[in-house]
This record gives sequence, structure tokens and C-alpha cells, in this order.
Amino acid sequence: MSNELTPAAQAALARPYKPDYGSESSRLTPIDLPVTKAVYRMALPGVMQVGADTVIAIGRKSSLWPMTFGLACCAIEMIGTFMSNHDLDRFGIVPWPSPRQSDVMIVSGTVTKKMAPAIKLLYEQMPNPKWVISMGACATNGGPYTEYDRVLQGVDKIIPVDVYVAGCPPRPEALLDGFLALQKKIMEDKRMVG
Amino acid sequence: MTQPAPASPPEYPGISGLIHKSLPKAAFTVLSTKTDADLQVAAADLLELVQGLFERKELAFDMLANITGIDMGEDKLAVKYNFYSFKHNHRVQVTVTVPWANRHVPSLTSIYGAADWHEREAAEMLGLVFDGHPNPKALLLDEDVRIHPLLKSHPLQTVEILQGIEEGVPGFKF
Amino acid sequence: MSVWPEERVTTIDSFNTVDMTINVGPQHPATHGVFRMVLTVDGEVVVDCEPYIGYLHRGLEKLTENHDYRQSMGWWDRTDYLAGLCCEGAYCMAVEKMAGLEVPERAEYIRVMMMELSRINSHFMFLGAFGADVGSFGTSFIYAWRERERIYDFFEEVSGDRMFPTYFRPGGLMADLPENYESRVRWLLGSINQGLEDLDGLLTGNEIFVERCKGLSPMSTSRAVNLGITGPILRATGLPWDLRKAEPYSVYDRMKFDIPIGESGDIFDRYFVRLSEIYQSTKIIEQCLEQMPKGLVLNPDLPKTLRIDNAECYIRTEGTKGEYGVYAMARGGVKPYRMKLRSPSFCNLAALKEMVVGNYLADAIIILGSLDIVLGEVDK
Repeated sequence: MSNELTPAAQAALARPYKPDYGSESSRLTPIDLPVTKAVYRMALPGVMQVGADTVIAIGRKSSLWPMTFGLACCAIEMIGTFMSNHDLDRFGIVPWPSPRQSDVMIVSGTVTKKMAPAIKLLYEQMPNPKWVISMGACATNGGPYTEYDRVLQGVDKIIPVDVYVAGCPPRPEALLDGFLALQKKIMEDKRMVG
Repeated sequence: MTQPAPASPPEYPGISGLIHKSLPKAAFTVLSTKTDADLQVAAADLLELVQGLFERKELAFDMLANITGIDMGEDKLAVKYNFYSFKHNHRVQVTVTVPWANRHVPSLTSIYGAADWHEREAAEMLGLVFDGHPNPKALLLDEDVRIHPLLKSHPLQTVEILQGIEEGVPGFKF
Repeated sequence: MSVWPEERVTTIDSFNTVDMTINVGPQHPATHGVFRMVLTVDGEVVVDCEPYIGYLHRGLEKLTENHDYRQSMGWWDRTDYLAGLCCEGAYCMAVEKMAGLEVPERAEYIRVMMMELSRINSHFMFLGAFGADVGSFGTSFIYAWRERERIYDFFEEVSGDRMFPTYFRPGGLMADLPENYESRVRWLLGSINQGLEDLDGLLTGNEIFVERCKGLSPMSTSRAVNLGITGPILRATGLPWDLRKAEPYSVYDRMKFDIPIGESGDIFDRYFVRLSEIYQSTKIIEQCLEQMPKGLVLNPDLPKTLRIDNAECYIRTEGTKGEYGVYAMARGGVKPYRMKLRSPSFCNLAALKEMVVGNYLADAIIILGSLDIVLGEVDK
């Protein structure tokens, strides 16, 4: 069948290998964060002894709904954390399969350059305020796969990350600790998030 | 790739002898008989040999287990096919070597349904062209990214070192 | 002779719909990872299915080519991440075969025991996830994870890690088992049997589950063989083919166990074959405990740096999803020249289109679940 090729096609086959990445860089540009306003500081003035932002932050940190989406091996440990042995429900953390109703995104696994636009879209679909936990070495900086060029070297290249959890994969206790750190961060950042 | 036929045909041990006996016209050479028999054929003769392996009752290779593309260096690519027979419980490996400038291999999708994805993967990983494949699209990579990562000339990514460049405690300075 | 009056037929014709395209994934709770498929539906019936993979393509083979034989172990662990030890076993066997290394007998028995525990682990994950797919939302998952956590605890005790122990080495094992392993494993087997009984009662005893799965998407043996399907899905079509019996590797030829098979290759058969395989695996583990010899677990003649001259092999093992094959080639030096993974999920998933087309949209999700794919293995 090779004899039926046109000379142009044969010349294309014969030329040396040169990688062509297409329009990939446009898909991997980071997200712009809108300037948020601290509207909640103006609402509910002076009714309680504590500031309204504290009350709202307590409410937020006590019912974090992470979006259930697993990328790779870390997803198995994430499921293990939700199950009865480690029981995330006791912190008010309930998995939710839709980005529209969830607060936290757990990036659990290797982010490849093919998957990166989908993750960015999911992050954009989540309503404010939203937080991101980067679970495991792969999501943090590419982990063991960082040398392969189809792997993104860390999900923080495309979306902002609040908590990094170390491990490959992290133990369920480590993810629990990550959630506790996130709750602490929510209380510390209460004046900054609108 | 075919050698001139010797005066007295060589004694092939095991499965390669059986193939030689039942397919006397097939042009192949036996590379090694240590583990699986490894038959080397030219790309033009591949389809005929595989058709024979599939159809002959005493061979009955009804499963295509694996297709491996290899960058052999010196502007050569190799494709290794692993066949298995459920009926007789024997295996054979078939090797096709093609030059980079004319990297055409006939597709086996007309005989084995399993060849579809294996061939698409080998095609995008090494730049092979499988003639007659019904759906020659990219499988594992993005459709507009035309790279062949498993070629030896394709580079690895440099690793970013995030800590230890500045002096003192790593991290942000306020 | 038509039983329907003519008017009825014309009424049904007026329900004709236009084909609609539905995108499922890559983020979808039912796709078991980052798998994406584009379904074309006519009303509720799927008329076309186009699977897209590669969202987890992270270069296992490229990285293996560029690293030492012992450094690469971790990546092979992470291919089938539900049963890391089975993948480790296949990788080590490929390196051992190329280098001509001997494995001590005790190490072989421990390997078989750990690989069967991994298989149980993976099949429990299937039972949990498949139950959740069919509709028993959390219960089957929680039953399955109770046993999985116990097996993980044992892995951690043995090697230090829960999911990816990296416990095998080319030429043997990292370390011997802990002192009390026999009582621990026997306790584990009792627990596994209890969990199996619970899940069997929950799912097989449930009429809704059985009604939904029986007769859905049957498959003939000849078609399955032509598509390259292996493992429990092939056995569900009625072919008693298991690489542990057909071409015994390690010490599987000394074990007595049966190969569970199905009848028609439908979804229920695939489920029931996996359920029965857990029981067979417990039998293998018991025989391992009885026959376990004493001795070394690592080949003492192992060179400090593994260098392999021209060698080539294709190793096939019975992974948890089917034939887990490793094609390996060495041309001198400390690195392999080429290593290719023949992953069973990859080949089984290629047949998804044939299974899904003609069924209802809701059943497409169950059919995908019954394949028991692991995306780390599909995308490599």
C-alpha cells in the first residue's frame, strides 16, 4: 500500500522526528481569580458577641462538602477515608458528586496535560467560596511521574491550592489531617474570603 | 528479510517446526527458540502468515495477546506480535522490522478484533502507520498533539526544584 | 400473525426520537476514574459508543526505559492500583527471566500468598463498586471496605505501606514475614469468609440485583476470544481458562483450586465468577500456609547492580482482571531497553462498544462497572 502514497506524503514520512505540541499551551493557562468582596462583614451587624465573619467561617468549616472525583491511585485512599474505618462524616464532611454543590475539591492523583482542562473547568463550576486540597505527591508536583512530559508538574500550575497533603498515596489519617488544616485555614482566612 | 532457502531445510524445534510444516510457503526466519518461538517476517508477508496462523486447524492461534512497538535505534522500528492458541495452549511471537522512512505495517484488524486499540497505541507512541486500520486516531494523547513519546529521541521533562535555591527557609518572603 | 392492532403500531412509530449525544466523564462518579465515553442514544437505547482514554497516561513505559531495574518497581506497582502486588510479581518475573535469577522457594510461597491477598482485595473493591453501580449505594461499599482495610493492615505490617508495598525484589523479597504471620493470616481468612458471606447475602440474595443483571449483555466465547478479552469476563462466558492453571508460574502448579466459570457471559456471571474467585483464593492461601518451607527469602548470589545483556521475554501472569503480560527487552546496561505492559483492562475495555450498543442507557453504566477497569492500567 506504501507505493500508492503521493510524493508529498512520502516526504512527510521520511523527515526526522520533531515533536509538535499543537495548541496545548493555551489550554494550560492558569485561572484568573476574581477580586472577592467581603460582603459578609457588612451583613448581620452587631447582633452577636462575635463577629459575623467568625460565625460564618464556623458554619463553613463544619460542613465541608468535597467533590467526589478520583483521578488515580490516591482516589482509593480517598474512598477509604470516606468509609467506616476512618469515617469522615464525623467532621461533617460528606462527599458530593456534583461540582455545583460542593465546597472542596480533592485533587487525588496524577494530573496529566490531557486531564488539566477538565479539572480547570470543574474548578470554575464550583461556587465561591471554594478550596482545593492537593492530595499526594503527584498532584503536588508530579510525584514519581514528574519526568514524563505528558504529566503536569503540580495542579497548582492551573488552579490555586490551599492544602498540600504529602504521601504516595497519603494514608487516610494524612487526608484527615489535611481537612483539619483546611478548617484551621478557613478560620484564619475568615476576613479575606467574601 | 527472507533468506534464500537452504538445500536441506533446517530442523525447527517445537512450535516453529509445526508452523514450518503446516505453512511451508510462508517466508519467515526463526530468531530464537529459547522461550517463545520468534518468527521474523517482512512487512509485506505479515498478513499472509498471520492468516495462516489463524486459519490452520493444527495451529489455531485464535487470540492476539499483545502488540509491542520498539524503537530499535539506527532508524529502525520493530513490531512484536504475541499470539496464543486456546485450543492447543501454545504461543508464538512474530517480529516485523521496518525502516523509519517507510514505517508501514499492515493492520491485523480484519482478522483479530483485539488488534484495534493495540495498533492505535503503537501508532501514536512510535509513529508507526498501520495500513488498513479502520479508525487510526490518537488513543492516549491529545488529538492535536503530534508527538511520539516512546521514540528514544523524545526527551524527558526537566524536573523543577522548588526548594533549596534561595538561602534560608524556603517559601514566600513577606 | 401480529397480536397488535394496526393503530397501536402507528402510535408506537410516532414516538420516534432524534439521536442525542451524551458525554459521560472524564469526571463522573460511575466511570471508576477518569474514563470518558460519548454515547449516542435513541430514546433510551444506546446506538453508538465511543470510548476515550488517556486521561491518566503517565508514561510508565518511557520512565521504565530510563531508570534502573530496581527503581522502576514503584511505577509497576501503580498500574493496577487495586492489586499492586500482582503487578510487582509480573515485573519481577520478567526481570528474573531475563537475568536468569533463581527465587528461593520460601519467597515463591510468600509471593503467591501475597498475590492472592491482593486479588481478594481487588475483587472486594469490585463487589463494593459494582453494588454501588447497581443501586445499593453505600452498603456494599462499606462491607467490602471492612475487609479491605484488614488486608491493608496486614500489608502494612509486612512491608510498611498499605497500597503499594514494593515488597518483591528481582530475586526474592524485601524481607521475611513477621513472626506471627500465620495466626494473622488465618484470622484474616476467617474475616474474609465472613465478608464474603455478607456480600453474597446482600447482593446475590437480592432479587432486584439479580433481575437487573441476569441476561444483560451476554457474550459468546468465540467473540470474547477474538476481542482479546481475558480474566473473569472470559471465564464468565464458560471457558475454564486461567493462566494459573494453563501455564502455571511460580508455585501455582502445587496448589489445588477450581476455576469458577459462568454460563452465558452476562453481567451476573461476571459478578458471580469474581465472587467465587475470592473463595478459591482463600483456599490457595491456606495451602500456602500449610506448605510454607523455611529458608531464605532473597537470592544470596544477587549482584549489587543488575546488568542484563541481550535478552527478551514475554511474561504472562493471571492478574486480577485478566492476562497481565509484560514484554521485556534488554540490550545491555542497567536499564531495560523496552518494557511493554499488556494490561488486561485495556483489552477488556476495547470491547465496551460491542457490549453497550443496543442496551439501555442506565445499563451502560452497569456494563462498564462489570468490566472492572482500573484506569492506571488502561492508560499506563
